Amino acid sequence: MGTLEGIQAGLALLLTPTSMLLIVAGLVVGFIVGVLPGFSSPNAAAILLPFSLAMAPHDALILFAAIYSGTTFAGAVPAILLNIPGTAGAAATTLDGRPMALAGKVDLAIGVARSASAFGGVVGLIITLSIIGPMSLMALRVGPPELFLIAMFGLSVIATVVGTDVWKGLAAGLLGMLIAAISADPITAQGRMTFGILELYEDIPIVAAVIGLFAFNEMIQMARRGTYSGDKLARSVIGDGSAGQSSFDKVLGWVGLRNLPQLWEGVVYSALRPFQVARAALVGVLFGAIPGVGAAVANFVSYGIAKRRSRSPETFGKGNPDGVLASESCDSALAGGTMVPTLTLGIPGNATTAVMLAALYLHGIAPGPQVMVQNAPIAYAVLLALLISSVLILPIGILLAAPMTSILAVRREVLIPLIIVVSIIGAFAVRNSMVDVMIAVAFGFLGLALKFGGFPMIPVILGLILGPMAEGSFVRSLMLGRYELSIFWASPLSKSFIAAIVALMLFNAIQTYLGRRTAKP
Amino acid sequence: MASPSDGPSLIQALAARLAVPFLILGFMAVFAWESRDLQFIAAGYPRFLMAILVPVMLIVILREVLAAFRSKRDRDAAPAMAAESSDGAAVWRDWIPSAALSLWLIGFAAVLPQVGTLPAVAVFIPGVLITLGYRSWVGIISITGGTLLTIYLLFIRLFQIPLPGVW
Repeated sequence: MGTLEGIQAGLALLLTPTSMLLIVAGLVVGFIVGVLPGFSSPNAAAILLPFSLAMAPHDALILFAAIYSGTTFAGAVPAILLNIPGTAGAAATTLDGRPMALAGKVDLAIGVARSASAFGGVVGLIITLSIIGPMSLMALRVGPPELFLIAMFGLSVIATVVGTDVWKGLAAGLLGMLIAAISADPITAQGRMTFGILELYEDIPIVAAVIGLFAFNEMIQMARRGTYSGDKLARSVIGDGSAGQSSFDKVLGWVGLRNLPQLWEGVVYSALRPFQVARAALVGVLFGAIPGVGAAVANFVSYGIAKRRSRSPETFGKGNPDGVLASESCDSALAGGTMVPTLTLGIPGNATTAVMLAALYLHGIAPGPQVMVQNAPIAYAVLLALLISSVLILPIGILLAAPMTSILAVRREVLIPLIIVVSIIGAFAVRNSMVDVMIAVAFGFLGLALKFGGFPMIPVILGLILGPMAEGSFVRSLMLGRYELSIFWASPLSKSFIAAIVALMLFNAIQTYLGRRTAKP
Repeated sequence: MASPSDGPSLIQALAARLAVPFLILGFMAVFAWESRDLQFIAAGYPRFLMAILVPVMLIVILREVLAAFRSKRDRDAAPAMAAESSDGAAVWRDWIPSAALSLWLIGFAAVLPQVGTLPAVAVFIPGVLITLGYRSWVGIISITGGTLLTIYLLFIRLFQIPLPGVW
């Protein structure tokens, strides 16, 4: 399917009242979770994952895309107001956003952040839409051996870029694949490590695993003393802001229209700098397309470029709106970039897209190169949902600015039990099984153990998602090749994937060696 | 003699660093033992994964051991800095609420099928709130009531999820 046909088919799925309502709902959910430090889009998507089963596949993915977009944007608000980035991607926003707030230009900073986020998102999605079609052509050349190698390549990429230790990343990914092998063997139907539990004869429930790793694990860590102080800070900020104001001012403040001219000035500021927005968006898409690099890295790179290209670099870090613009445009565009490997190769760009892959899998769509061939309309609908979300961010974001900040005042003691109860109901609801709840709890503790041991979690999820696909293609390849392993390097595409895996490992080894040499005094 | 401010001993540091890698190896050993009688075609793929995972884990363990020795050597070289940076007891005290929450979580999941969803939630929410230091009784009652009402109206009546103990 060509790009234009894909866009047309995607629009047909997207332009329905249900989908549009889901976008708005997703944005609001994204705004709420985005302002809570330590709680972000993968956590929200993980909790909503089981409930998305009641929706059509495209509606579920549209909802997650909107949550992703909303979270990305919302992270800027606590970054500017409280110097706490709500998401990792907003870390660079604090550098200039906070000084602007301290200088009495809160609304200007928020206006720039909102508009830069919206414009950057739109530009990033346009770039993504133009490159994703040609990339998906590769899917037509993929057979079982290549599919297996893509799974291994994805795992290698994630292992090398997530966390600080490539070996731990690799071990976590392989552990995920091994856990995914707890099921009945697809050919002989013999149970593997099922201990006679009927539910374990099916694949490990992804929803339970995701809820355990992202929701329970996060809550247990959040309960730790001193990890979440946003509530107290927010109360102090909101308290100061409302003191001595008239009722009318308070109402205006609550709906985020406290200082409309400054907000508008911020919007115009970004609109008059299309080149800077496009440059930051390009950085976002490029970094987003490299799985696991992370929004924080991309945003600091974008910030650094903006600073170097600026005529007044000395003002950066002291409240220059260009710093906020560079960070926020890049952060929004990154969402589009992460969709490129997710949809064309089945390799998630980050934790949120890993949960989106799980959603695909739950709805019967096997993640991998075939997504862009067999389910192209859904893939394009997701990208267009991100595009529409970027446009809607501006008006909805302006209206919800102040309530979003008030969310920070919700105490973590209140959030924790509520999130746990909803997560347990979610884990149960997929198969109406208490075994799934137990699996979720077990994964929560596995996540905690991995965190203690310094093992990253995204490779585990990727291993769980790619495990069944990797096993299926591994066994089919062996059968096709009459049990000769040479089938795995028979085609040019297989050879290039093997070369890419080896190059990746070598590159990482050299980088580690050089890093250690320069670290030595 | 080592004082508490010297930080963890080498054995303690090694135990902390190696606990998770050995947990993973233990899981692998159980998996291998459980699938020992399976046909080759059924056990081949997990064994292939284990064949890769074992050397990877050995490398991880080796690196952890080296890191523990290196860290001990650095601490010995700069004992003042080590004393400043390590207050193990305080770190453990910070984790007490997390440990308590973990117990609540396990207990909640265990009793849910026996006592039913709504009674379990009615105990779990106030329990966690009090454990985490929330002391407003009005807040506790309203949060618990609101959650129970939401579960009843949204999940039981609207989504019709057959939650344990709900008919």
